[in-house]
Amino acid sequence: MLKRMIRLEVHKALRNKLFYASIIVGCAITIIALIYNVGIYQDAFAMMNIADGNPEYEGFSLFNHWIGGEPFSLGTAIYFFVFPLLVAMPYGWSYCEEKQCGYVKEAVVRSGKKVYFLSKYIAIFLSGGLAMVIPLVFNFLTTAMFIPAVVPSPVYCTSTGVFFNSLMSMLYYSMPFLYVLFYLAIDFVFCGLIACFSYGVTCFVRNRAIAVILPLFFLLALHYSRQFLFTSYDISNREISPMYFLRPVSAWAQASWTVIIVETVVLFVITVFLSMIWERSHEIY
Amino acid sequence: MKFIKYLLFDLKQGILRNKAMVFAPIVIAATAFLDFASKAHRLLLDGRIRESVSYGDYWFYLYGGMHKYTPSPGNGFRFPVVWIVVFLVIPFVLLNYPFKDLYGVGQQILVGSGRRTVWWLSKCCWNFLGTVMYHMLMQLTGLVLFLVFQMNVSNQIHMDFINLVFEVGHQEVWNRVALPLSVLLLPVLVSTAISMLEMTLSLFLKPMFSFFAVAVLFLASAYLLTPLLVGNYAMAFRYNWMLKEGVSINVGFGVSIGLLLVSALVGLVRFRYYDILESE
Repeated sequence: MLKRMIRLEVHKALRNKLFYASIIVGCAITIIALIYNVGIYQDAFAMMNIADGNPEYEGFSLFNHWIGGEPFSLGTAIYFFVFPLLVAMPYGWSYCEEKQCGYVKEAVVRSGKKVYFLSKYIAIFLSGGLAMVIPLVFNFLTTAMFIPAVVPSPVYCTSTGVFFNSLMSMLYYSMPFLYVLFYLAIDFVFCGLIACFSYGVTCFVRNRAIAVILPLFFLLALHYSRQFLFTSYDISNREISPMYFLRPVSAWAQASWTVIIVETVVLFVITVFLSMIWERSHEIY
Repeated sequence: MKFIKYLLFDLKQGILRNKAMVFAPIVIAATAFLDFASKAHRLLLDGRIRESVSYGDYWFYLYGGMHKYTPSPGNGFRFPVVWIVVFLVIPFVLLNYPFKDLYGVGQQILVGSGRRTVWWLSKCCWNFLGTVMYHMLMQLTGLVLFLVFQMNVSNQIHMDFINLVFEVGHQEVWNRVALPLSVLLLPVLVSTAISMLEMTLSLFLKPMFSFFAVAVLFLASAYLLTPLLVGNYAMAFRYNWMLKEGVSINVGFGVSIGLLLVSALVGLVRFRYYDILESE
């Protein structure tokens, strides 16, 4: 029963208009970054040809010109700001709607509460993770069509934005494809949990727009808390805002495994508690 | 007469009974005050600013936004979180009510009265007044906190503090000492125009998409200093009164009033043909 229910929920999550809309909007935003970065690369390439000097191949690589590799283009700025909306939009709202139209009662009678809530959690997690990662992969592949995947060199760390104290910097300068893959995995898991946070919100709100938008404000609140923590430039801070640490290249402070793991675990516990324990213990009829 | 009745109903249901509308600006203003006051205190103790800050500085801290961003690998874009929160919360708070009303009790009223224009105009007034009240509440909260902590309540601003907090580098800024009335009013007017735009967009798109569009508009405005992006007129730091290459305040008033009226009119035309029986 669990398998069938998961298959049904995943099918509903990945075969709905809002999932496609989210992917299309996400890809459209990444194209803004693509156009900007290809322009930079071609200008730099033209300049190098004229100057007839060091071509600096390692300074202009795919790995620092795809959307996740640079922190300064408009496309990157928009994408890593609106991603909480993009990941909650596909299916984060579904429980809210199913509660209102009475579908939950029908589903629970047939499958049981545990199976229903678990399969919904898995489907929302997958939809959120995919909604984040697909546009990133799309951008990575399309950028690779224009900019060669030269292995970056630490000599050009000011161009790449990955320094000696950056997360997985050794991997970045030795096996950059693996570095990108690791970051995509982090983004997938974290954004899946953000979508599940939207699911948790639907336990309390009846409007699906609110359920989709609230995770953005949750992340903004977390982002704002940096103002109280990062009080001095002298202190070596670690990035606590997912809006920054989910980028493979740092916008300000460096990301750290401790922060990422702690926030992931906290988000997992909150979402599991809300959706699987809190809501399960409440009357649905 | 009917319009007044509609409006009073909307003000009561959509503003006075909307807890988020009342509490959100208070919480934001109080949190920003704590952040502002602790920063100012630290800078004063370090001797990096000469005198204590005033209410004008606090206002600027909320509505300043950010200076012109110059993209480069060593200068990653960092969005102005205080400004974004101040301006993005109100479109969120105002997003739900018109549709809740339309698909609830408002539908009965609308079908009964048969006057769509009055319903829409009442929602426009509610939207405008709600946005103004949100900003007033935010500023009043700040004012009360300033009085409670016996801080300097004046429209004076201190450029040494502003330069440090807004991380002003190579940008050329005018040396100002006080906030003029036009600077105080324009961000609120821009906010009302954007809230109206969002409400109108919601008639064409789903409410979550209209909010999405507004969020992108604010972020793009922070990224690009251009008179074409209306969000620039909501950032006091981006005015040519402060930043030498900034946007014009007068143009800002024109653009905001234009956007406000056009949004209301387009919404009116759209609402006349809107399927009110379609469920959300």
